[in-house]
Amino acid sequence: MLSSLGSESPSLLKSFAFAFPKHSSFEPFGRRLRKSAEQSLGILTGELLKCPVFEFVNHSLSIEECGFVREALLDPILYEVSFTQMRHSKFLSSIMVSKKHGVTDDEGLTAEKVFADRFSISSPQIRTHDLYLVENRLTEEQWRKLATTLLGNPLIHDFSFETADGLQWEARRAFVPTVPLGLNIYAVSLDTDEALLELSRTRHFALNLEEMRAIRAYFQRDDVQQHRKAKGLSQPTDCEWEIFAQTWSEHCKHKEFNAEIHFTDLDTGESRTIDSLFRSKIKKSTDIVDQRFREKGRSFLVKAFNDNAGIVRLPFRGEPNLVWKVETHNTPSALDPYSGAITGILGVNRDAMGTGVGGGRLLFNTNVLCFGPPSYARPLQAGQKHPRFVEEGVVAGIRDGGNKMGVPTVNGSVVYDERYAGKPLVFCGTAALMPARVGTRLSWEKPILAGDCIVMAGGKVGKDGIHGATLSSTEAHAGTPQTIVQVGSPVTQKFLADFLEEAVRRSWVKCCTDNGAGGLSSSIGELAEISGGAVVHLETVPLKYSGLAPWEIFLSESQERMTIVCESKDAENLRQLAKDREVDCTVIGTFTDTGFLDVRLGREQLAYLSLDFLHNGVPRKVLEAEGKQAILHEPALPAFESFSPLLLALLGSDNIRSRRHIVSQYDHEVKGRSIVKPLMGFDQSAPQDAAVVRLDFETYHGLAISNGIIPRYGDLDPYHMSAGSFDEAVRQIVSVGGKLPDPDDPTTSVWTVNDNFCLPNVVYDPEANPDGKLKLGKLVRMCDALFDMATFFNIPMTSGKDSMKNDFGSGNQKISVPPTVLYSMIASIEDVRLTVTSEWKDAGDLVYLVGRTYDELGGSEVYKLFNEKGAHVPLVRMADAKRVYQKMSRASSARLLQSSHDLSDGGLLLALAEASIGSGIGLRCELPQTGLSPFTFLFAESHSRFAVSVKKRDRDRFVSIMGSDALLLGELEDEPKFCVVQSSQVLVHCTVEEMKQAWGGELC
Amino acid sequence: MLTRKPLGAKRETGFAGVSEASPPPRDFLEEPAAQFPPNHLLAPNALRVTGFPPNHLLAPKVLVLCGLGMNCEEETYAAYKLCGTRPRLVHVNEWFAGKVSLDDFQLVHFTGGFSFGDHLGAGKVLANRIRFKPTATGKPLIHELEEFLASGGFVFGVCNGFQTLTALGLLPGIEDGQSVSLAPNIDGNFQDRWVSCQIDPESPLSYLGAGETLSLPIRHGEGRLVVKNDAVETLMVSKKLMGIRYLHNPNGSAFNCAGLCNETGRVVGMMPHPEAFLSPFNHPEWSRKGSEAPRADGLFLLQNLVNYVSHNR
Repeated sequence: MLSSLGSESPSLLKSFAFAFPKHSSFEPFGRRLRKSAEQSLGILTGELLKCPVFEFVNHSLSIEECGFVREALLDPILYEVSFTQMRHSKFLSSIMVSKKHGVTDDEGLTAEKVFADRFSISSPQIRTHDLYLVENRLTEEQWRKLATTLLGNPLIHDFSFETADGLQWEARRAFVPTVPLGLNIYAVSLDTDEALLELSRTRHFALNLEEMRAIRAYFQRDDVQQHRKAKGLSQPTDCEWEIFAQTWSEHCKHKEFNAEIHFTDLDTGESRTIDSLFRSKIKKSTDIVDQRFREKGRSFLVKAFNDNAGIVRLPFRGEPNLVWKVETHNTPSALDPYSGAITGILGVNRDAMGTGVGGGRLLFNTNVLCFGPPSYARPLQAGQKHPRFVEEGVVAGIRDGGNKMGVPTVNGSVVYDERYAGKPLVFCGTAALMPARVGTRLSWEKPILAGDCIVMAGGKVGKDGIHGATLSSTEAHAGTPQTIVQVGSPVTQKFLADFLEEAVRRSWVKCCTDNGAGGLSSSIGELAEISGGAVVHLETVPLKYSGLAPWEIFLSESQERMTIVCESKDAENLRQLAKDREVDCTVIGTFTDTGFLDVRLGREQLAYLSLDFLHNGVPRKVLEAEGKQAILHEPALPAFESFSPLLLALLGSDNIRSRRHIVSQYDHEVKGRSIVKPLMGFDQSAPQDAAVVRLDFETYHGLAISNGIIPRYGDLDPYHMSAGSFDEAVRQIVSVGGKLPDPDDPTTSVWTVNDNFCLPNVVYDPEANPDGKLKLGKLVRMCDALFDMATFFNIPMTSGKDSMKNDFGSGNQKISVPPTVLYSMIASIEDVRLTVTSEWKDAGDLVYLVGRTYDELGGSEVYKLFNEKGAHVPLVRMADAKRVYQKMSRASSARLLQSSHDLSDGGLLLALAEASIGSGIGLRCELPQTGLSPFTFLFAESHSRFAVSVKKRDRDRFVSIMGSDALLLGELEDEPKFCVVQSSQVLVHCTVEEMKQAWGGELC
Repeated sequence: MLTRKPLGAKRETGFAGVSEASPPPRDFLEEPAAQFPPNHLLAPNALRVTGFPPNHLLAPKVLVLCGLGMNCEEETYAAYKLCGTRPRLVHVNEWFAGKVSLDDFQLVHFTGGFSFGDHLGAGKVLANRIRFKPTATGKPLIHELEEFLASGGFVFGVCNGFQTLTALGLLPGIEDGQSVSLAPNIDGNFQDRWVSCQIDPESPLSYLGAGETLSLPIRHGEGRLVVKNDAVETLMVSKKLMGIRYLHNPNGSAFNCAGLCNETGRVVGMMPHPEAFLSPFNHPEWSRKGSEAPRADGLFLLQNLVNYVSHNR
């Protein structure tokens, strides 16, 4: 108890309020940190208590205000408040964690609102800090380590430390804005290539020489010089350089996916030229699929690739539009895992909100996360965080982003690999629904005319995230500038989302877009292409604080902002509604048809650039790629007497063990539409294949959502890794009861997939990236598979993203992610009540394996236990897969399937085990003779397979549908035992409880 | 009041009628009208029949608050509609601006979510605003809310709404000011899980389903009831105000308390989300259903609330 805090001196300035928990159990975070500090850092803290601190900047609290702080700023039952920093004999050290100036202090802003509400005058500025009281006396090394790894991030926090005997280190640094307002022209000679490269490097433009030359050539053009002269400009301004750098960044222009690639297969000697992977693979496959449906009059593709997210028309009443986008946020998550992930999820929310007219109602979130293993033991490089902390932060960010926006997280996956220890991969997805029409307008269109207003709505602008777009195009390193860290504010965004939906419903919005990478420069730059120009007045942009250079205002990636387009007559309505809803909303410019992006600050001209050149002038890259079959061999493993120990080891392995400790932190119920959730069954421990949500409360129409990602196969064969990932996404949806799309079927389901590629640097450089050609070759093969699978199954890409510089460090210290592709799929479901879950239902049901198993242990989880890769990667046999999926759909429609679980990591045995764990029902399994060894049959990860259970009375009907594609394995039993035999030899024998223990995931 | 068997909470019993002899489990989907008992929840459009016919005079008027970070308004609105009322979604700031009057309503619903992002403690900032911010009339809204209650109105809060009602001092309402709090869960984690909770038949809130065991999802990081002192605690126990209790305590809440009412039973708050269980197909075990479809416990509870309000205004 912290009751004896001493008396307060009335004479002191009361500018701080310290809140102490009245009982340590009211503040459980300290206890968790204490455990973490001991386990992860080996620091014994003794009791650790987190205390909120409020700082009233340049203000001394009156007695009345002090009373109000006690009662209203914190819960008076849980906290007691002191206005001087009390010492408590129990705590020998204290660490203060403060946000750096300029970093969003959400809680402080809310406290200011509370003050303003009460005293009806503008509040003093309030900043919040966290004070950690530590029982033990820490050394300087200890507190620094504790503070910078567990309590905060030096990129966004300042730390100070005190001991009871008065030792003090590091008072907080004052923030002095140093950048003067005004125009800046870099004193750089444009004449030499060296100077251009130097400029690109020092200013973090991430542009190569050819691109810099193209920009130089633009500014040297006669016509350009003439119209610049008319505007009072000559040399390129800092603002203009920055606009080029971000518009031409890899992030925005996808230069490698649009490059001309010369591919040589080193094994066969064959070579070919690929005219843009995006056009010739991704877009082309979608065009082909769309054409097949269009010919039959069944096109459902409304918009693909040319808006913030793709749109498909759902085959249900009112033909609502489904908006669907999956994005990555890798670099920000490497720098600050919590902020990176939360801005990732909030950012993709805004993509969905900013598609078409905008204001789409968010339906659900998904996420797929790739981390280094928690047991990662290599020495950490400068700036590298241990995967455990990365995971903790990222999961918390996903949690707060989704939960606080009120969007259910319905589906996800976590993949572990040593090579994600440098940069994690954080894929965030969001779907939204829009009605077909909004007022008289078609909801998916973006009509903009000269004279329409440019409105910025949402948060204010600070230095957050400057250079995000260009930095995601370079390798992360210790010197990566700190301003690129953006801090998310889900509550600001929730206010904004509600406001936008209302404004769109009232027809005051013509269209809108998200302010993501590149900020205003990117959002206005893209929208201006529609009308043919824009004038922006930066002096009207609301700022968080003074001291921003004009180009920083234009480029800032301060979060939770949308750019809205409205007719000038509606601008006042918008402003008033925004004021009522407590959202910042300002007209900052006008769209024109001059052909130029015209940026001003008061009378000063900051930029005047041809939109045509800005968007189409980037020189095309020409890249070399090589394909080479990896040299592989099958391992010789010892003979196994029993597979039980293997099964238990696999159940506890990183890629298979329970995700419940993560999933239970995400809200998957909000909005009340979730039908098949990530975990189902009597104690919610049964992992599911695909999520199912219904669309409203009146019908049972819905969607199934799945993810396919198997990067470990890429080491054996990138083509089959990509094809297998695609198949995984398809079969998960088939498993819950989805039906493959069919252009010839009048009642065809609607399917859509987002592709997300994450690669290390694929641009060959003899020194920095000697195997660049092989990496690009892998990408080419991954895209080949995408094309083959999409066109075979008739599933169009509607959106996607590539993240191309996922390396950390440099030289032989470089940690590069394995080439990774994620396919995020959605299919329409006619009646969600007919869907099937993965766990067993009743003893007595028969268990079947559907689909054929091959000698395909290559890249399997079981080989990974022995640190082996093997040679035979699982292949997708497309025609067989389609046949099996169609049969599964027939069995599902006939309601013959009691349960269905797709086979993936760990193969057949793991799927059977998970269904038993999730239901508490035992299984007795007699393996048929298949010509494969029991080891192969149980652990091979051949694609397009399912473990299903069927009622005995349905046996004949099931078998008549499945024919030779189903193999009877055994029967479910009341007794919770898990037993697999073959010709009277016991292969696996354990209890469901033992498996559950190994798998983990018990909630306390 | 509706009385139907609760959804099987225990795994061992499963759902009634699951055996080889019973009718095929999934056949109820084929011809719903023929197979359902009258007013069965699964029968098409039957949900409305269990409540009031649309626009019925007796159907209470419900105000569902939204905005400022609350985020369960869509399903809450749908829930009251399914219960036969004509709910109205009102942004909190519209209420502050005097654009709606509580006189026009019988039930005010404080919606779940994260008002003001849970900054400074869940529900705290919204409660402060209601307590302290002067409106156009010069008086804070708490006065209007107290008058509304004095004239026989009902207030129902779920999750963040419950947290707001405790910070307002309306729950348990046995002394002025705040006397209980919803502290961070004992393990410090936000958790989403389904729990079983029971309604005390002797509590003033027993009209929500006396003695019933309900299966509902909790989704919160701050749901642990902490009582200010022993005196308050004794009063709460003797008056049976902690009327909804967890069968297994998920968060360290005092007395396993999941929901709380004031003495009159007209102010009720609960952490579990009834509005998230409007269809039997929301339940994590729905696919184990037998021939008898499980009950949507959330809709059941809210229907009881609406019925009670209509008879006691």
